[in-house]
Amino acid sequence: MTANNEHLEILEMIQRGTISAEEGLKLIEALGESEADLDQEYLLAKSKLEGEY
Amino acid sequence: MAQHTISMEDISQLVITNAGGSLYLTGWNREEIRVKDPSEQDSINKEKGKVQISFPNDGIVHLPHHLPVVIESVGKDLVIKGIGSPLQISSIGGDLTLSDVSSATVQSVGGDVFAKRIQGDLVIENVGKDCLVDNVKGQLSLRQVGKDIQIEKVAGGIEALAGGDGQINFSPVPWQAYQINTGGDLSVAIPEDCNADLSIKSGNKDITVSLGDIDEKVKEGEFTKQVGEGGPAIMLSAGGKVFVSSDMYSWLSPLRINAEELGNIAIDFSDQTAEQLKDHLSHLEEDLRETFSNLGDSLDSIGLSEEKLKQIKIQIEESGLLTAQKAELAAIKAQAKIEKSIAKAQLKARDMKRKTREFDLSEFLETQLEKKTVSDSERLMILNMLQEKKLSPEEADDLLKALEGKKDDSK
Repeated sequence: MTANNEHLEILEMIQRGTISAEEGLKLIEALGESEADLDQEYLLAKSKLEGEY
Repeated sequence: MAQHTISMEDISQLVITNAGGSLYLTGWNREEIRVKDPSEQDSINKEKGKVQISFPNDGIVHLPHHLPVVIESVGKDLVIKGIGSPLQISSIGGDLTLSDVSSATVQSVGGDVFAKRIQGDLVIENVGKDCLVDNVKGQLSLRQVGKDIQIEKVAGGIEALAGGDGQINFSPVPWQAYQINTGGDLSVAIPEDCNADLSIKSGNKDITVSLGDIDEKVKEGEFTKQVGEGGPAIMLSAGGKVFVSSDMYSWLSPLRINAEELGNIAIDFSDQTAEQLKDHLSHLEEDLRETFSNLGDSLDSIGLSEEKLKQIKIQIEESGLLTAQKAELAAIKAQAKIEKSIAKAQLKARDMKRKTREFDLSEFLETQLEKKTVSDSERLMILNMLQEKKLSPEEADDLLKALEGKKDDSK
């Protein structure tokens, strides 16, 4: 599942009443942070590779 | 271009009554005054130990370093270099550039003032635009400046009033007084180990003093503080905010542009350009002399009458001289223009340096935090509307993305 699909899934959960708006916001923020972490990891790996070669 | 050489017998003062265009004055080691007038309509009078000169348009004057000079009126720019006697200047329509002069009293300048390496006092009553002063050994008085002022390295006291912003850098000494008023913001840099009594007024009620152990940020209109053991009075007043700091922000060095370095590069560049221009000029003169002497020789063989030949030779010599003099004027003007551009670039660089010095990290972080809180409440509002089924998940997604976009823009 892509990040965009996950985002939409959370919104649908809010609309269905499975989770509250506040809980949804925390999930969206967590999703954003994990994306940022992945970006960070990718950049770190890339710079290491560039450094080796 | 007319050229006159005036010997210094019984001459104790030079008076330029009028220059309709720009005027260029340079001191030299010879005991004579040389006057060049491209329009050839200058008027020169010698009486009672004075030489009086008037130019309908531009004028170039070389004069002995020690000769006192009075300038009454210049229509455009005035450039003065290397004069070791006091200068009295009444009215300039354009910009005033002073470098390596002993002292100067100026009544009125319509444009900008660029003054560097002044060996004595510099007093200017009225400046229409900006004023950039660098290295004054005596007192500095800028009684009324229309726009911004930038002052560096003044050994004597400072009195300045400006309509725009001010950036001042000096080391206070006990026997001097300092009074600086600006309509806009005022940024002052003094050594953190100096002794002084600070008295500050801010129209914006925004005063920051960051000097060694002193770190005060005051949201009041007035503030006084003793620095070190106290001493000379430093009175600062601004319509906007006032920022006083030492110039020791070395930890910001990767961020800041070193204005001094830029200034040195610029001076080198200007000197090199001037040398190149002079070099070109002397080559041009040599080439012209050679060409015209060859032309004169070939005329000899044509078989004209001796008198006619003499006339033609004189005309050739005069036109050669005229071309060289026009080139010289162009070179002087080009150098003055380069120096003005450099001074403006220095002004910008120092302004950037000031902004870097005044950058407040905690204030920046607070603003960013506020922005995040606003952004969170906006997002929650969208999600609440989704919960209440006023929006579909897709609509909410679009709105959230739009909000992200807004946040990105604000970065």
